[in-house]
Amino acid sequence: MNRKTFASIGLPVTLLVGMGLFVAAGCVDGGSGAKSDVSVTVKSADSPDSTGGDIAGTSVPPEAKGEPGSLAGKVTVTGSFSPLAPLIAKGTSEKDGMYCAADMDIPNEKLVVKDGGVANVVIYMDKVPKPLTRLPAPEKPIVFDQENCTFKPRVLLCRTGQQVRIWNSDGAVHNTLTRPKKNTGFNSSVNPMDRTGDNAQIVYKKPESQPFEVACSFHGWMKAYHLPLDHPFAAVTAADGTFEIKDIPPGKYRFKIWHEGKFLSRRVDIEIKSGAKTPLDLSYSSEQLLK
Amino acid sequence: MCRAIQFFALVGVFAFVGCDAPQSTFVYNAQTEGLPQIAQTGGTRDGKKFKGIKNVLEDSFGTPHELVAWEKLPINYGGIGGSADEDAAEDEPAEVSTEGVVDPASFSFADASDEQLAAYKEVPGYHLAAGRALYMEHCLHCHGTSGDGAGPTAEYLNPLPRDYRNGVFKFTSTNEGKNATRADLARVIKMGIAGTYMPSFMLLEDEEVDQIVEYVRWLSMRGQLENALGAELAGNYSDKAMSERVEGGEKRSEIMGELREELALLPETADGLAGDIADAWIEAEDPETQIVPSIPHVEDTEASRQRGRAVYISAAAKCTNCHGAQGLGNGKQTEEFEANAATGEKWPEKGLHDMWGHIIKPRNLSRGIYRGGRRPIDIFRRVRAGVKGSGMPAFSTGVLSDQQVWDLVNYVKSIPFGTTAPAAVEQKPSEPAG
Repeated sequence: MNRKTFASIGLPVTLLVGMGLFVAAGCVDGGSGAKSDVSVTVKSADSPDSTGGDIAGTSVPPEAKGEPGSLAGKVTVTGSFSPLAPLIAKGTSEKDGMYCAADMDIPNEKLVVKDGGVANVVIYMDKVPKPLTRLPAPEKPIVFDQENCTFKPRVLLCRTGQQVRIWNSDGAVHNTLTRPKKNTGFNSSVNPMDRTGDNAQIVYKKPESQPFEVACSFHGWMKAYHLPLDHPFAAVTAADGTFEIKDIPPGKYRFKIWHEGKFLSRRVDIEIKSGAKTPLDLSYSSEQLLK
Repeated sequence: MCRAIQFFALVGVFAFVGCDAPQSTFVYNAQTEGLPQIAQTGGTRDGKKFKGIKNVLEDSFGTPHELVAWEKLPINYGGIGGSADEDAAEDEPAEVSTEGVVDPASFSFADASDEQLAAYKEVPGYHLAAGRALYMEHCLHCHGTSGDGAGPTAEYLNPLPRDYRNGVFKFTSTNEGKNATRADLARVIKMGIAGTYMPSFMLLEDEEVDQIVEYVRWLSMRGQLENALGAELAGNYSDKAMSERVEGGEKRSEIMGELREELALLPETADGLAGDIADAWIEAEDPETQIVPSIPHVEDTEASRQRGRAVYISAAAKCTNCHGAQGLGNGKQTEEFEANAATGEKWPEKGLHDMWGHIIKPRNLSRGIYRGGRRPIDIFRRVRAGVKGSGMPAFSTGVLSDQQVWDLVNYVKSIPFGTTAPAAVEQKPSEPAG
């Protein structure tokens, strides 16, 4: 084929076909689809049929035979550990120095150890059998305080539906800020010396899968964690590293072990026997704990 | 001659390739994309098929070309029964094509005759379909097909267009932690957002604005469901979780088996989560959720401005922390390295960040540009509700009384004119914010 032939025959054809397509394919729309056909299908609001059943690996007998048991133990640090230097030494705070670190240091709570026991480790049940998530939440509100420009407690466990009242025992104003995964975030100021919590309350509607961070907008060093759960089978280790989870119906469960933004174990399988106290002692190196 | 041939040949190629308008698709977020394949698109277990997040979302919301009107959601779909449209007949045909009759997607209120207008409203789902057409015409360029704020022009904009997928809108008339109302969204669409690229769409008919609002709410709920479903699974099955679990001695095959069991329940899980999402949007429309001052706007007097100034610099309100003593938006906190509230890790750059992870500047109050609206009630609500998703906190009635907030409003509105006495506290200003 020589070029002349192409020019005399091919060109008008190409052009016409091109123009035709240009119009037919709706190029005026620019591809956004604003003018393209749309269909609307109705989906009913009915819930899907329940296929039921609980996750394997966890089981609670439906008739809940036997007496409830408990899980108790201690989390310890292996090897030597020298306490962390304070975040802000007494009298050196550049922010709100009248109230923050005025009379004592603001400690670094990234790892708190007493007699080898590790505080603020969370032990909580995972893949909780459905019936156990329907236990009513305590009506008593739980207090989350701020003192010496430090959150108290460092790790707060609560139940979905339970009221968390935010106190401020400091003379400085605080602003509590959360950005949880599943719940609505919170961002509100808390009056100085407000020990009522009337003006700052949180009620978490959904359980979270791991503790999330709580910050203060004004004092960047302040840090705590909240973990709302839809069941009571969880504990935070005390100052000496000990914990106890009571009233667990006998059965096979799995637990998660969490500390300061990371999992120490994502799955620990435990069988709770009727009326018995099941021991669970865990130890980790300070490197693992500080990771 | 040769060049002409090439030129026309190119036109031809363009016509063949470029003119076949691509189908719009909804994108998925990084959390979903980071899950194992079966969690995204499903698989089989004991010979039975199960769905992944993408399948469940498509079942519940469809595609940009085949919309699904899920009655569980509080959306006014138009002519379809459900929680939002109680008058509608119950047994509508399940599949409705809008072809033939009046096409809601290309319907124009301005040009329609009375007959066309009446026929249009007979088409079930017309409200959503029309909202989609308007959205694709006016909104998608910045906000993206999926409402992810990542349309083709987004990368050239600062501030970035809103990503609706977490259900958070900055400027609302509702209390702390509550969703936006339809009226809040309609107002933003009509008025635009001063000081940003969000223009005013005042030239649209009210009903058209309402349709866009419904479509945006619908996109937002789609994003929220995707986030929530992903969050259910990410804790145990994200890349990071999986590798930690394998490191901890679990077998990958066992973990995947467990994931399959959970995925078998995914439609049920989605149903529960959608119920929670729906409740929050319904609650937003409840008059109880609205911020309504208990006293009318306090008269804008010198005394009121002075009282407002006192609140502004008070330790209780700490406005100066971010907005600066002169209101220039250059408070000392803008110079700090903050921690990411979602992860606890410090941001690599100094300054305030919003929940979308973008640097955000406190408003420079000397310029008289108020993004959430310039009416006194708008500024009142910015103080009471905060700016959602940003660092601007909510100041509850226990922290600042209604009288104090009104005084603050009067003071803030006087800042651009410099008519209130100068700063009572000394603070060295840094570079004024934009």
